Amino acid sequence: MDTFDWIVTGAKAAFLVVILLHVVPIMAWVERRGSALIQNRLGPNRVGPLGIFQSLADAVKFIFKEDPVPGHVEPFYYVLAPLVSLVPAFMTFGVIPFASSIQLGDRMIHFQVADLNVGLLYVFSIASLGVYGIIMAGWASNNKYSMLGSLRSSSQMISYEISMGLSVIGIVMVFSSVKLGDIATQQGELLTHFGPLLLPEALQFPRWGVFVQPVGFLIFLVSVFAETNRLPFDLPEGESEIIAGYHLEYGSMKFAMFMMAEYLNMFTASGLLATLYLGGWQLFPGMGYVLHEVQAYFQMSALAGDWTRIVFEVVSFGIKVGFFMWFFVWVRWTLPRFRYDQLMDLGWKVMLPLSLANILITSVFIFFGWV
Amino acid sequence: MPKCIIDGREVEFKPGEKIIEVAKRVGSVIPYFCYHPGLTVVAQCRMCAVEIEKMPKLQTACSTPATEGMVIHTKSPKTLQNQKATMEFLLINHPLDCPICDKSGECDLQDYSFDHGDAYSRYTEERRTYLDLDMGPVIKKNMNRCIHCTRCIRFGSEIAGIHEMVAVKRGNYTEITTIDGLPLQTGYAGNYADICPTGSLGLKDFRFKKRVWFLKKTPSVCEGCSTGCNLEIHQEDNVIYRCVPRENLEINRYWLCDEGRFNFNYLHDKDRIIHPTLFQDGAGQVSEWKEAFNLSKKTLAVQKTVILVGSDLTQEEGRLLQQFLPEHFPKADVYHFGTPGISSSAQDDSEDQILKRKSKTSNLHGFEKLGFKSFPGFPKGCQAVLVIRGGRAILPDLKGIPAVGLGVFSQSQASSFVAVLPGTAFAEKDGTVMNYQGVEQKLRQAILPPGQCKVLSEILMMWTHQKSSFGAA
Amino acid sequence: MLVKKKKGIFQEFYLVEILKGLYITFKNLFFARKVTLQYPEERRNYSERFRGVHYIKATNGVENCTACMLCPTVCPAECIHIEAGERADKEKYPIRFEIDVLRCCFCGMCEEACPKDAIKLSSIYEMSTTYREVYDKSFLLEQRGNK
Repeated sequence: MDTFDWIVTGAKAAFLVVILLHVVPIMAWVERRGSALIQNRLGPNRVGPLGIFQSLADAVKFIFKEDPVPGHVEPFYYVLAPLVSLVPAFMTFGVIPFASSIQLGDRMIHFQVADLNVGLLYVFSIASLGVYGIIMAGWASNNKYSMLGSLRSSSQMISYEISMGLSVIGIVMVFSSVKLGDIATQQGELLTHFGPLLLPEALQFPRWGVFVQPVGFLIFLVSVFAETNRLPFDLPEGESEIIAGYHLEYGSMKFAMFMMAEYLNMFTASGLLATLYLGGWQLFPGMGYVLHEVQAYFQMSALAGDWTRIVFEVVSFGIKVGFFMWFFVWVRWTLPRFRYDQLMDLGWKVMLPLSLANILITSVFIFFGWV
Repeated sequence: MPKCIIDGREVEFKPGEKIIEVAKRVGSVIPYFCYHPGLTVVAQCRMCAVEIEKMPKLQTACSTPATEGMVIHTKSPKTLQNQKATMEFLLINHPLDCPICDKSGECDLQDYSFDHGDAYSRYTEERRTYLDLDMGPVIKKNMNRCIHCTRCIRFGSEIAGIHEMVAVKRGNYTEITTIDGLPLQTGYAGNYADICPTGSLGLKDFRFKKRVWFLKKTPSVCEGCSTGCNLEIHQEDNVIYRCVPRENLEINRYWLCDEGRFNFNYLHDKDRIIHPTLFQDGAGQVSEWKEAFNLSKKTLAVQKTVILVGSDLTQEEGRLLQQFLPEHFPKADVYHFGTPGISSSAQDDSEDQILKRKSKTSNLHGFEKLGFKSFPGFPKGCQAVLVIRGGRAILPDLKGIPAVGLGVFSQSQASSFVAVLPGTAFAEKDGTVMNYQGVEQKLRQAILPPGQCKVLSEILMMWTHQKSSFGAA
Repeated sequence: MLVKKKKGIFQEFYLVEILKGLYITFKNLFFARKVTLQYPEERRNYSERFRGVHYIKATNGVENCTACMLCPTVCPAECIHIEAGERADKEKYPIRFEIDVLRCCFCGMCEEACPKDAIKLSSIYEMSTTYREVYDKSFLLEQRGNK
């Protein structure tokens, strides 16, 4: 790597970190306003226009609040736990491409901090590190509720990670790659088959993951809810049963770190969903036409045209991610919490067989060359 | 036994018994104002009039003796109509100041007005009012509330022995007052407030202190003298507000003297020592139990000790001391003391032929029965005194001998002492006392001891188990 | 007894039901009337009989209260404390009249029990403080929110 690569990678990483740091307060605001509106309330609307700066005020409070360490906890792990859950949350997004690439001179710049050749595996391995933070928090808090919460969290993670991993295998089989950049690029092609049927040209649509792997998408979507501890699978912190679960003993910035980790995990999961199943940075149908019109209208140079394309791709990716983010909130305020045995039933008796069947059927389809 | 029929029930009675008592015994309660079982019958309130068959008019139940075969109706329409009319007449001039009146809650007039009276008054004219004169330190009069039952007049002349209450003027203008408006002389004035069926005679001591329905009642016995009058201690939140007599026909009948009635005030005296206290040059210093015990033991560890046990303690406490003292003070002389000049039951005599007796402690007779010797005066060479008492026994002159007090003392009483270990008085402990007739009666605990005061048995227990460390301490 | 309800295939297959639920919340999100009251600017109209901060009614500058103790008697929270006294122009009056508002449950029984129409509950409901408030007699005698 030469200096230019360092600068480019640094810039991409910085851009990503800034985005990630902004996602948390914005999502906190969206969550609060959204839940309020769904429940026929108004929500925080006093600080700034539409209450948008409420999160800022919250952040100020989190930072300046007294930060005590309770006497009965194990101090080292107690302090370490929020860090352990926050850092993986920051790390995972690095491999998700948020736009395609651009030719600068003789260099190709990928809009992705690191296009690892084990991209998907990296995401899963790092994301599952987050649960250590939760287990640490539950154990170090020396509190029965916290302990229960973290135990629930760990067993839930294990149960759903399996079906999540298996559901993605379908995608990996179809696109023959675990590099997220490759997967995103391949989804720009057109789908020529609907099962055994050959589609006429007029009906051909993008080869997005959700169309080639609908069952896999559903399993992945449900598993992702469980992985991020969001309702209806937020048993680790079920307020009515175990008060707040693993972060019961946490306050001020340490609590905020858990909250940030939750929203960042959501963001990563949304990015992953968008990348694997909604074509990633691929433009929406129709957006390509608009792009051409814009490029033609302003008579752009090749470079300027490329940059415009990148902007369009980032916007497209942002819309997809934003939709999933909103979907997380939307589902949270629609569905009640599962009972724990129902959660386990669903994970082991429905999700796991379904994902195995999905792999089988996918391989049959691939064998016949239908996808 | 002759029989009569009250409200359709056949009832036996003793010849000469009045209808009102017979009816009360069988549960047919007849309302009354002027009647009182301890006083003569005048039958002037007319509230107790009942219908008796073969008699043309209603007859007052309080004055009519029951006779064989009499048929009495206490709930007949005629009787009820009379009660209603009587109530209305009595309430014509009665002010509606129950919110102010201390009697409300235990007021006969209020109760019967609720039971038999009308909720509305038809009387629109101006009500009769009086100016009230002072009646001495015990009783506050409010003549507006009076219904002229004359219980107070009869009590004065029949029980208290001084005919000092009189009714002056006539009819509507009748006024109950003391002769020439003098303050009350009798030592039994508190009973005026008890027997008054309205709030027109009230205790000054209790005035506006507490509404009666808040008070919790404990039956107990007066410790004022060797009569042992039965009384009821009324307290709330560990504060005694008053004592009222309890009926006991063999001892005090329905009465209580003022001395016994207001005796409880020393319990809540600010001057009372309620913490272990050490004295130096007459000034008390609150200390710890441990230090007080150490100093007491040090003071009493001398050759010649006298132990004075107040005869206001209970039998149980006396017995406890008889076991404790020979063990811990084998060489000490143990005497009882109580009232100067009254050292034995032979000297105890009635003071005023009513209730009061000369021995001002409750258990003189009991202590004699237990075998305590009376106090003859300090022997030569006495080096220390231990005084054990309740709150009532009068201290003899200690003649400058170092003394340790155990029990209830006030700061001024104990100023010449070395140390005081605070104990409990009559309302703060259970126990038995024996009166001059040899009747043993129970004291009941009504309130918790204040401050660090402890019952005698507990103090003796601590005394025994306290590691003595004088010299080192 | 556990009654097994018969369910249709769509109910058994939760996704359809979940979509229905999402539709309902989506409807609420944009189209439902919001019930929030913007408090300091908007205020709810309470009934005339609303029970708020207590006050003691006075006639010609003299408190109506005669310290009859019916309000502490009837008070279920035991939050009223009265000490009675005597003065030249009033046979019985409260020397101290204290209401521990932290214990008060605003049931209004004191108002109902009062024979002198002295203790009343006003319509004032803004009574938050930063300390443990006990209303004393001078506070209660201010005729705030008199009704």
